[in-house]
Amino acid sequence: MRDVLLFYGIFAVYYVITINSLYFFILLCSFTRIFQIRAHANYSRFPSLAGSEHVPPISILVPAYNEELTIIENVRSLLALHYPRYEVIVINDGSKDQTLQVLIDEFQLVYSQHMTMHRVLNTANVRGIYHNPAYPNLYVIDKDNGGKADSLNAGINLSHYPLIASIDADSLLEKDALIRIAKVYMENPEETVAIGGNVRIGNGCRIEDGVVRDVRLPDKVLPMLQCVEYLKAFLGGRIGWSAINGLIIVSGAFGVFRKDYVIKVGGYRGGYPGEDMNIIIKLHKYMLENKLPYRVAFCPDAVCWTQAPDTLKILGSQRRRWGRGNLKNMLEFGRHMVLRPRYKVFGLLTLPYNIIFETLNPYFRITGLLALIGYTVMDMTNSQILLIYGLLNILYGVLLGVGSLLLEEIAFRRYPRISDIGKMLLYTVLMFLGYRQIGVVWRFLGHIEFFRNNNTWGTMTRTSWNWKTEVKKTLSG
Amino acid sequence: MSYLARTEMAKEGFKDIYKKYLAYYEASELSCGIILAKCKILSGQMLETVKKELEKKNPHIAAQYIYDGNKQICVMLLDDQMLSDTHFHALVVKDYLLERNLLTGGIVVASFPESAASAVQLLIDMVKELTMSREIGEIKIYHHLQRKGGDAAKILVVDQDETVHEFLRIYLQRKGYHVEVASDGLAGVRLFQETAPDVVITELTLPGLNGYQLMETINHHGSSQIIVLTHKRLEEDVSKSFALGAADYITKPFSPIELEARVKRLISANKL
Repeated sequence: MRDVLLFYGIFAVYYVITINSLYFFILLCSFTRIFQIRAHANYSRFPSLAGSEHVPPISILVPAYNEELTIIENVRSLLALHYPRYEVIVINDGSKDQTLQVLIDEFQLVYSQHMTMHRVLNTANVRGIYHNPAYPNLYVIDKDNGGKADSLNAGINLSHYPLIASIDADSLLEKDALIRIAKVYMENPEETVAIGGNVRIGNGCRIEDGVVRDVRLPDKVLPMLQCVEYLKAFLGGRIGWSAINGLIIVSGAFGVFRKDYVIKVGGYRGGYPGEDMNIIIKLHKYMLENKLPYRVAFCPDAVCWTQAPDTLKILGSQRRRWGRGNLKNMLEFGRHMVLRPRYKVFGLLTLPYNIIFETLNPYFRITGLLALIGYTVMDMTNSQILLIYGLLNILYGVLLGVGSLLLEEIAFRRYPRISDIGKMLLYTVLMFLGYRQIGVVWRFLGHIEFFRNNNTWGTMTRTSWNWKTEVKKTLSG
Repeated sequence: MSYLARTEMAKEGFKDIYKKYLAYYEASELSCGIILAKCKILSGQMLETVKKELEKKNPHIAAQYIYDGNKQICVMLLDDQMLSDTHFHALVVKDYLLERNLLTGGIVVASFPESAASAVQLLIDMVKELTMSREIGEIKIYHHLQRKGGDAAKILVVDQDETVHEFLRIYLQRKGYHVEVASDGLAGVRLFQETAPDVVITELTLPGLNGYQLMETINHHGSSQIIVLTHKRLEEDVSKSFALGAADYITKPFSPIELEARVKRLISANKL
């Protein structure tokens, strides 16, 4: 029994080494790519591009469910993007609050009788479309509740342009984000099917009129941990994955897609979370099965600021949701595509990595740790193995985190102060003291929920972006 | 007068003109009218003739006539004349020079200290203005930015880009304008109502109210000239802007010199 436990424990150690080494490889890919990206961005003249005739028009889809607090500010900021021709389509997904009314009041929208909607994708019943000629590029769709994927599909049905951008209603785009993404698309419009944007944590930033005025690190612990976590995932991970064309997810918070292919693969899938990963998997599958040249790109300098949950309860529900979504996608598609040569990099590298190191991660980690602890309790002769396991986890993880920070400092430096760098380094280490572990547990709980057929979206409460200014007002007033 | 002295006189440079005459006016705080005319090459003798003939036409004006050979500009300094009288005298000068076929370009008229506080700057600006005018016999009143009462022309800049703010504020203030900046449409409207600017320079993409709505509001509530300064280059945007009453449409990246020239033109057109 002891030997079995020891063997399994050693296996878990190797598992940790492998996962981190793979991640290290991806990080190296990111490093090679980042210099290219930076050079491209430096030599591009975005201001002139942003007014040019030759930039493809984009339809921005904003699904909104109970967003009355933030929706106005976000729509206003979306209407002020630096982009020549685009439209903003807000989809009110049967909100239980005043989301629709707030929009109607703010923009004096009127119910329009004759707006054509092509029903290329099936959606829940659309109650009406609202529009005001004074804001010619703003549309609001009001429909029965059907979930986020369903809302996006309704938006696609109404959209007039060949590219669609999906944006969370609680996120703010930087004003040149769209033009930067469009530039990536224009480099190779024939083959680019999807482009992901870079999501950053907006907690702690000073935001006025839907514009990020002052970039600050979050001052609370949980958002700060997520900030470092996002940096690692997006800069260290996604740049690398996109470099080898094995990107499996374009964040739902901000991504741009070619509408024709999204429709070809049947649009967004409802009923389960993880629709953002799902659409990318379907695109990979479609393009590879039809032997079409394609790429799923990532554009790290197109920034979208999102609100990170700042309580354990909400964060937990978000992570459990991610866990469910990931599991569902792997059961539905991953299983059938993994390790098949026809799916190239995606089937041979991305999917195995995802299944073994993301989906099954909790099982290996939890059981591995339990085995080691059990072994240590039974026999103290080799207790250093537990120490090795823990240290390996932390050291390798910190190394990767520091690598991602280095990427950030080389290419972007969004947080200019020296103290910020110190703070980020500190939290890179702190991540391994509880936060990572609880993340693993949440994912596991998500799986349990999945098998008990609980597929709700979970809770997500919002605070108004302007809460700081509100507070100031009340204090001074 | 010997021949030598006469030729010398016909070749006095602007520096000398300033040193000899304007410095004196500046020091003694007397006013003087200034007329600059683009002329054919005048010998000293010719200049004398011009002076005599003009004195006959307008006997009560005491004036100095200097000719700068390098720039081929004839400078006339009218003792103790306000801008209006100087302008009147310039009409006489123009007729006379046209008759004699001496005029090769336009005429610029100003008065010190009415038009500008610094005589040197005034002279430099007038020469610039003269070189810009193409038509023969066109009389330009030098547009001092200082109005009567001494307040500068007001410009409101509405743009969400802070660098544009900062740059335009500094640049236009150095050019003698009074500049207000707003970073979104609503603030723009508020400032417009508070300050009633002569010219509004606005971007089209603004948070809050967009540029079009701002223009509509301005047209409803005032008579400011509107210049659109934007990165948008789509034809529909250009035509829509003009339909909403924009006086000018400039795309970014822009030349500050051109922008300022256009602002100046708008302000002077507005005044006449």
